[in-house]
Amino acid sequence: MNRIVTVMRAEFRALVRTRAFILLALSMPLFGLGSAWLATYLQRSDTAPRRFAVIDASGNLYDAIAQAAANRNANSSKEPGMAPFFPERISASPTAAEKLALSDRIRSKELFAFLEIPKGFGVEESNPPLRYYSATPNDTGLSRWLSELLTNTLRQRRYAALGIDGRAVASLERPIATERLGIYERGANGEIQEGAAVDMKRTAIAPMIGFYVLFILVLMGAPLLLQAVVEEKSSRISEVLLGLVEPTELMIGKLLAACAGMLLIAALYVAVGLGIANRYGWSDLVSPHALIALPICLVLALGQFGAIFLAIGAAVSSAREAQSLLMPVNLLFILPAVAVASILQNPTGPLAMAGTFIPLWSPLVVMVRVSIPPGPPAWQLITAALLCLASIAVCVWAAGRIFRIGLLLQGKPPSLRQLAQWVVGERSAK
Amino acid sequence: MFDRGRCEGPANQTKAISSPMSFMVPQHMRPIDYRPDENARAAPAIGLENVRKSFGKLKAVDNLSLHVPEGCIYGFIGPNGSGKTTTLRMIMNLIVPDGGRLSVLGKSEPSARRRLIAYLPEEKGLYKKMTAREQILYYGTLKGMPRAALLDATQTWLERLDLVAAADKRIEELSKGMGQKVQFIATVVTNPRVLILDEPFSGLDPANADVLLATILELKKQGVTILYSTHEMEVAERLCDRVCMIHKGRKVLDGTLDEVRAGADVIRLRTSGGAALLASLPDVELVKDHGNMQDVRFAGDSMDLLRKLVASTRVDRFETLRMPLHEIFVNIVKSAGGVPQ
Repeated sequence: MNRIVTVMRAEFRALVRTRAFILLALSMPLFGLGSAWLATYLQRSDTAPRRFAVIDASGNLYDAIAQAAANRNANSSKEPGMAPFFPERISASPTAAEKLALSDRIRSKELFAFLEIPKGFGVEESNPPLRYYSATPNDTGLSRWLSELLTNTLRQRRYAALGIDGRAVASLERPIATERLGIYERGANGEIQEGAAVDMKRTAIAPMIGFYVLFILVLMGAPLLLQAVVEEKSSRISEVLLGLVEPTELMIGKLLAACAGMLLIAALYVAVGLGIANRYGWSDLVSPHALIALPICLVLALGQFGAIFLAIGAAVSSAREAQSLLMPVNLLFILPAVAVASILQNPTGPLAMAGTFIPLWSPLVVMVRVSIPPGPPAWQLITAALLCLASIAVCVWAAGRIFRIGLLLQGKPPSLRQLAQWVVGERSAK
Repeated sequence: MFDRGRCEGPANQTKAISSPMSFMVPQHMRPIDYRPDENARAAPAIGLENVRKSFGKLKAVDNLSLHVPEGCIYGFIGPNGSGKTTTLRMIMNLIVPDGGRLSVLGKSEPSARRRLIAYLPEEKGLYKKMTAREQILYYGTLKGMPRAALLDATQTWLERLDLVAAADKRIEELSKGMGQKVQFIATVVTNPRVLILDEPFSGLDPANADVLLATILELKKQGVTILYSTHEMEVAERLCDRVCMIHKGRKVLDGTLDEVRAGADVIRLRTSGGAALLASLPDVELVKDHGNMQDVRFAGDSMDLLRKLVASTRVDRFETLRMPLHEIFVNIVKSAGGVPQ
């Protein structure tokens, strides 16, 4: 046990000093903080006033635009993120040179856009379109607002012309609302609790974040183990180590160090995530169940995949040689990522249930399921955890046999069949 | 069961655990007692009995029996691919033998063997990013030595091998020779009773090789049993009390240097009788005529040959030429069919 702890300490110190670990630890928090900053920055820049010119050849729509803009601007001070609009009336029939002058004003940032309302707009059978000129074609906020405003204005005028009450029509056309709720359940004190309102952010986005955080940590953590073993093997450290400790002790020490390293990164991610959530008022989206499940699922997933990656690392002489052996393992690992959308859609369906009880997939599937209220029942979680622990024991045992033989071998990498032979019968293998 | 064995000579009168002359590790720094129990005292330091190991169709080690007496430097020689490293790895339980029995100081359990032996493999393995001191402490801790004693022993050894200035530098910053000395310290810092050295001088410059050689001899004086694997015959001849040679996995030679050379020595003669007379004498196995001189291989005591010659002819020159171990080695390899593939 002391030797395992010694190996673990040394491996942990070596792991946290690697460039890959530091990059992994910093990349996600920096990405999260960067995204949050970018969103804030974009929101701030989006509130810049939009001055635009209106060429109203129809002669009767500019006033409606000016009035609507004034109303909107009156509300914009109450709603953060809403840019005020300032229209400017232009001659009804400008020449090409005048339109060029307007374009130059856009280029010089004096104007944001200019709108040309053709003569007979909304009246003639030919129904000529609005013409919206802008240097920022992907910023559709103003053009969409103008389009909706003029459509509604003309619609109300047409109703009035036909003697129809526009408000009555709007009332008749109002779509029905559907409130999506969870199911009723009995509380801890026996009282009946109504299902909570479904929040897509809580039921879809939060579980996806939990899933991908776990996915990335295992995806990055297990190859670090492989890389470390390959380096030890190529620099002949393995033989020295095997003269000092049992192969299984060495492997368990490395696995524990990897788990500790990835838990450290997970803690960092969670801390930064909670900070961002708190800053933007999303704290209620954070599931306490997911926070508890993350470290457990991480250890259970890394225990299995880490042992497999260690065994493959011991069997080959370079990271390149490992590629062919890693392919089936990577496929196994990626499958839950392919199925995650279906699991989100039906967290108690057959796919989710099967995934819960297949040990290699279980941590990833459970990570999604616990994040979706009400989460899987306790017996499923306990059974899944026990199956994972059994699987870790098998993986460590089998990998230990490969580890012991593979670490001393140089030259041609073994095939999958040879690896199986090493696991089944050590004496017959080199 | 193996016979009890100890190397002859005054150098083996002291033991590492009790010697007050121990220069590396004072008495108070030796919490690990590697002394064998009472049963083990009757056993050799390292014993192999009919040990076998095959890799597929290749017999790497074929019914090998060894008996390494306590307190000696035992040369384990053989050409490349002869099975030396496989044998050493089996002793360390890095490779499981197909059959036979192995023991170290009477202990045959793999974990006990590992605990009792310190092993310096041919390929040196150090972490590039660790400092020399961290490396030594890491390996020493894995060997089970308490921290305080290990710190003291590490400092003592660093001073002894003139590595104090390099102690806190990373391995990648050290020269190859310094790295090898660090590896050597990491091997011996726990004061092992049995030491396996696989080509410890490979790549060392002459100055560092001399330092290491002197250190190995000092360890022997303290009673450490050293199994020294090499194909450098000259060093083996200088260092070893006994040598064992294996070829194609089989033992082809085993004994003290004198025993190994017995029958291989050549007597260089100049007599009036010349080659014809020499060839007519009983027990003369081979006569190589150089004209004015002849080289003779004689089956018995060389003094008997001298007496016979003096009785029958004039003897102008009589000189015993010791055959170098290198030549014995080469002759055996050639007669056994060359170097294995």
